[in-house]
Amino acid sequence: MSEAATIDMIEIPRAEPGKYMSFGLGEERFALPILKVQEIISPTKVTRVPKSPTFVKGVMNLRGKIVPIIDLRERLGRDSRAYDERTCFVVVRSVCNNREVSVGLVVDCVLGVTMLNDIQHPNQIEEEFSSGAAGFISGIAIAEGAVNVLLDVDSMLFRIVEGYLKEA
Amino acid sequence: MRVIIRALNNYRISVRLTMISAAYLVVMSVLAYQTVTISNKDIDFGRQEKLGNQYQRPLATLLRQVGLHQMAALKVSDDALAPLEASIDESFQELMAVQAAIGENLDFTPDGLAKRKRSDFSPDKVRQAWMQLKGSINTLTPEQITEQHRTVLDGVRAMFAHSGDTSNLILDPDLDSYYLMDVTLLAIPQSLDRLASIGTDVTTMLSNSPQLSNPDRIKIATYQSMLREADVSRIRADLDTTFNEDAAFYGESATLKKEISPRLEAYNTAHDELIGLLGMLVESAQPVTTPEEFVSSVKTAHASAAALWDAGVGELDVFLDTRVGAFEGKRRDAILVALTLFLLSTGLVLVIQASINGPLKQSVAVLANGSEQMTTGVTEITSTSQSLASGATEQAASLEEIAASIEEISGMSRHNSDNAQQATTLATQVQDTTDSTVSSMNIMSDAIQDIFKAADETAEIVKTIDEIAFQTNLLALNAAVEAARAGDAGKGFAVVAEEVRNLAQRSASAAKDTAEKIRRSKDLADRGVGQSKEVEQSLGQIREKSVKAAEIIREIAAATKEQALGIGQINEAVSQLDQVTQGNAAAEEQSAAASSHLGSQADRFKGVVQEISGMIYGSKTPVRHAELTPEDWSSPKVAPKHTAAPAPRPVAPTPTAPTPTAPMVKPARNGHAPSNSLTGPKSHAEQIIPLDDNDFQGF
Repeated sequence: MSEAATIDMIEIPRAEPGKYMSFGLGEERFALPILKVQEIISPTKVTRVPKSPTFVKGVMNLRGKIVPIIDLRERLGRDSRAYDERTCFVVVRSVCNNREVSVGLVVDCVLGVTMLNDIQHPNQIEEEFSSGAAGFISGIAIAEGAVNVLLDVDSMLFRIVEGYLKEA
Repeated sequence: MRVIIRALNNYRISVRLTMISAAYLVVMSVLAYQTVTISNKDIDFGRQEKLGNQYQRPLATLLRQVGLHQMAALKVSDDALAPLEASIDESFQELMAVQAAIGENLDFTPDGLAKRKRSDFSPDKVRQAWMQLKGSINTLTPEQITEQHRTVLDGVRAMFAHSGDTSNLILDPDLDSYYLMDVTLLAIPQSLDRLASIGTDVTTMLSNSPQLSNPDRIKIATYQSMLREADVSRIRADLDTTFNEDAAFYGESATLKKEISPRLEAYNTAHDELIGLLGMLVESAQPVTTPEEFVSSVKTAHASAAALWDAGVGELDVFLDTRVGAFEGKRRDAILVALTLFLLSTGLVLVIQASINGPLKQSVAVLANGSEQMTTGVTEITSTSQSLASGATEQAASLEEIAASIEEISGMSRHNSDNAQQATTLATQVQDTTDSTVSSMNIMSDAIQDIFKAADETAEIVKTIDEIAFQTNLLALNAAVEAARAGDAGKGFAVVAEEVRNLAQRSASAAKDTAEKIRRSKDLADRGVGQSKEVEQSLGQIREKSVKAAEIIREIAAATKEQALGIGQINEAVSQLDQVTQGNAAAEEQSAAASSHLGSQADRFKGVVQEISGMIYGSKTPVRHAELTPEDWSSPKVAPKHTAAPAPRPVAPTPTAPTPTAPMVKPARNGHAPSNSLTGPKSHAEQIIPLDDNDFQGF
């Protein structure tokens, strides 16, 4: 309860209309604010880091910078799958403990850059979310006939770090 | 001769056999009759002799008694006359009795006596002479007495001779009885007569003078020599012969020597004495004896001769009885043998009849049956041969059809051969075509493989393009991200990035499409390769099978050639068959004709069988035998068959109904008639069996 309280204590910023980069995980579409995206790369060699959570695949060398790689499927509680030619690493920029970090997210495919205007927020849909995963959903937008789940990278990373720390 | 044979034909064989044996029996009977007759003759001969003896008995007594009477009447002896005369009368009575009984048998008839110039010496006349002598004895001179006695004695002697002649005694066939007969018939009577004369004369000489004159002595010497030589020596010689020969004729007599010998001895003694006495009288002039002594000696000799006569006649009768008995036995034997032979031959005839008739009956039954079957068989043969002939004609027609069919088959076979040749060529062409197709298929298969490789390479290129498009897409995304970060300044760049991204995505999808198409074309090429493999296999099979087909077609061609050869042979065989069939048809015609003739012969045969059965069962008795029903002989069992037979020709002769009276001519004539009505050549049938009615006349 206390943990929930702490989670509840973190305020999830409400997503604003703007440009989003959408990607696919399985059947679902997710989207990130384009300004959070640093770059998109093809999967490269990942070095595993001991004692890291299972969804942390390791670290990669991105032009001299060490970037941790997180399998978003596993982070979102789905089965992992082998990489294919469409699998991409989406490197995002986040602020964690007042420190700007880059994190690579493994997604099934990148769908493109979309302008999302009609966004619904979590409190409007909190009844629909019952799990903790809802803790980093900043909103849901419908574009081009499809539902895009908007993720808040910072809170997601925070929760990762929190979970990481807790595990440690 | 022929008439006799015809007459005999009316009798059965058994009767004829009986006739044969009867003929032989006649001969045999004649022979037996001859034997019996000869025996009878011998028996009668003997009996006649016995009658002679019977007749001689009173004669011998008379001879002795009259001699004694003479001596008594001349007072030479001192015998009383009366008893002598009484006994002489008695003897004459006996003679008359014998004469009455058997006189005729011995020809003591006036005719019989006259024939032998003895008419004066019948018993009656001799008796009359005696009666005259007896009545006038006291008035007669001694010379007259002697003369009268001589007359009587001559008569008696003549009767002796006559009885000897007529009773066959003089012809006696056996030596022993002959010599005994000589004694009794001739010698002793003569001797008795002589003794009487000696007694009378010599005693008278002795009584008249004491001294014998020379003439007297000469007379005495004559008497003596006569008595010795003509009487005694003869009797002794005769009896010797009789004794010697006795055993040779009907065995030795049991009584001969017993009866004769003592009397002969007495006879010898008496006569030797008398002869000695006479000798003395001749030699000495002095009287050596008294008349009484001399008469006594003469009478002794006389009596001994008479006794010898009695015994001799008795033994002669024994001889005769023996001979007659022997001949009677012979006759009985002959009759018995004849009877036995008759019975035996009769039995034998019956047995032979049975032995001939039995097998003959069986044979005739078999023959009758056989002839019936022969007729039936001939009918069958006729119909069969006719149907065969028609069959042969059909056969010939069929053979022509066959020949035509074979011609067609031959043409077809030639056609087949040509076709097989063409098929062989075609099959070879198919092989060539298949071979070239297979090589084309191989080339095609290689081409498809090349296409396959090219498609793979193209797929690699497309993949590269796809990767490039992906990278381009990523670059465009990153450019869009950068443009967004640049804010308003990056708005144009964002549009460019968007366009680049669109292009990248289009090239990716095009690459994707291309890859898809390449994959499909690869699949198709794959399938093409598979198909070409299958086609190649199929072509291989086609080639293989076409090779096989070619082989088979070659075999067919060879077979067709052989077939053509075979058909040629068949054709030949059929032509030969045709010839044979035509020959058969001709032969069947001939056989039909021959069987017709055979039928007529079978009927003749039947007639002959009937004749034979007539000979066995008798021509007048209809044949009813257990094995032969009347139909077998007479019924035209065959006739309905003939009328029902399909043969148009009248093959069978008209059935011969046996007429019991004349069975031997009719069948032959009937058997001959149908052969005349035959359409076939008559001369041919008669060449085969050259018989005509004349040949059957012999049956």
